[in-house]
Amino acid sequence: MQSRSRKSLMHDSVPGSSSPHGITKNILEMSLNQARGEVNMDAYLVLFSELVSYCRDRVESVMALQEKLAQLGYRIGRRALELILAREKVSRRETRLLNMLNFIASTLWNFLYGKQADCLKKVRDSELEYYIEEAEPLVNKYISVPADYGHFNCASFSAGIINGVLDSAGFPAEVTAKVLARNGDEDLSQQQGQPLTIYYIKFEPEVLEREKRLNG
Amino acid sequence: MAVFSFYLFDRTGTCLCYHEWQRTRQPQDMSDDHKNMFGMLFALRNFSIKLSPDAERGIPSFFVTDVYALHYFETATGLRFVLNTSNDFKGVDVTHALSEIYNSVFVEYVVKNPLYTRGNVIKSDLFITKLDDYIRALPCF
Amino acid sequence: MSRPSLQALGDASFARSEHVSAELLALTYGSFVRQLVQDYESPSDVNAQLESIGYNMGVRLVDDFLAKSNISHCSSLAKTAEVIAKVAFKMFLGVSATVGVWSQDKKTFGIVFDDNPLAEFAELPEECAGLWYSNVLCGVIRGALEMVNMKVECRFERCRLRGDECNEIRVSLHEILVEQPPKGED
Repeated sequence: MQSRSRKSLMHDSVPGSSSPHGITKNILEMSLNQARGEVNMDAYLVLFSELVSYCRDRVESVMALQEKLAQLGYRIGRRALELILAREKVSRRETRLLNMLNFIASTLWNFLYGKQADCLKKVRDSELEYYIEEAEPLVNKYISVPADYGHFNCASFSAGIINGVLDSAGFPAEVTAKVLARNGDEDLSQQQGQPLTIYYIKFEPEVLEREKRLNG
Repeated sequence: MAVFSFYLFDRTGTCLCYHEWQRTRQPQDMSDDHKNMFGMLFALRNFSIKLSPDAERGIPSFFVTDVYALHYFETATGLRFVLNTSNDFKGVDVTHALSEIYNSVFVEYVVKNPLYTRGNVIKSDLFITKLDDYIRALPCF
Repeated sequence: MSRPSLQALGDASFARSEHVSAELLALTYGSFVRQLVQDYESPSDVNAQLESIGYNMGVRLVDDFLAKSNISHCSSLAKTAEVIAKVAFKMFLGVSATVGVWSQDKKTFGIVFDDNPLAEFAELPEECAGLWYSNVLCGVIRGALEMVNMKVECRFERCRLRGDECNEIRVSLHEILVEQPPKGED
């Protein structure tokens, strides 16, 4: 498996080394029940805010900033999928749409954020459009968006992660992060209570065609 | 006990935040007032350490007059928190309250806000609201 | 009541804080480093960028650190070194670090650690041979110490990604900044 060889590549270059903590780590040998490594959330968020600043200094518009964050997230998505599959020792890829979406909302979310996504919904009258709801995205925890940034949302980063996972798994789609008021309106000026972030997923038509073929 | 005013300075003397609840004698010029306050604190602190039997310690916690008291807390990063209260604050550890304001209000709502640059005046309404809430919740307010 | 050891303080501060997956950190950091490698020509430029990003992070994290760990001040460079290794590394990265060898003049020390959450899935390709992957940590230490009036220089000495047996950052004290009286003081 690709990730396994990557891991041992790192350690092969250290002939005769032995970590005082013993064994070379091998993802495939890691127990599923092993407590996840964890780090301080503030350390993560401070790094993330530097990432946003770095991108902000190198783009011309708010749209471009969102795209840049999405690109960075995309890279993560591709690697996250490999890691999860290696760890769960899954040999078969998901080929069905709903199973893939459930994978995202539960397994992927758990891997990244330690919990399941709040909600997975389908857009009425469309076989290709779905969305995942998230009340409090991790990346938005300390960020307050200035008025001149319009609809900017750091959760574009997470949307990029979802996109990377879907593409890697053979489910090409367009994924965007939006912020809605509780009543579903995009107009936040009348909002009451905390706004909701949604990851809107629109699959490419070829995904639907394959799904129909698999349905027989 | 009545709470009069709050100042927060950084180590260069910039007043990052000033908030008042009651102030009977308004100064002519606020920026002069801030400069004087910082200058006085700087001198008081250094003098206090000079008098101390331990060269590393001796930072004042408060001074009391016949009408008011000034409470002081500073951090290793040079932030100086000041609360002016009436002088009947017996039994209330206001310096500790200031350290709590540092821990739970300043760090949470200013330091962690990625849009805040160190050394700038705090413009966050959220910080002022939380500060106000904290002070009003003190048993002696 | 005896003061808790620095180790215990580090463990407690880490346990009290909110956590995120170390893998999320590693993947995010990896994506960031990839972007820098793309944007900058040479590994030494990337190293400089990482250090400066780390500096900004350190300036922010220091108040959070002092507030949560309840450490008011460090009386000596030796104490500072212990606090960085035993408390700060544990509190933020969840890993144990130790203070390494001191220089002759007692102005430089090492921070040595085995596990590095930032480098969890990383490997260094040949064209990045000069890269100190986790150089951001050097910036964090420099930024944080500057806020407590210590001007230091930090650099990586050993890195497991480069084949060394452990990770080590050397921290050198250049000067202790003295607070200047405010301008216009009578």
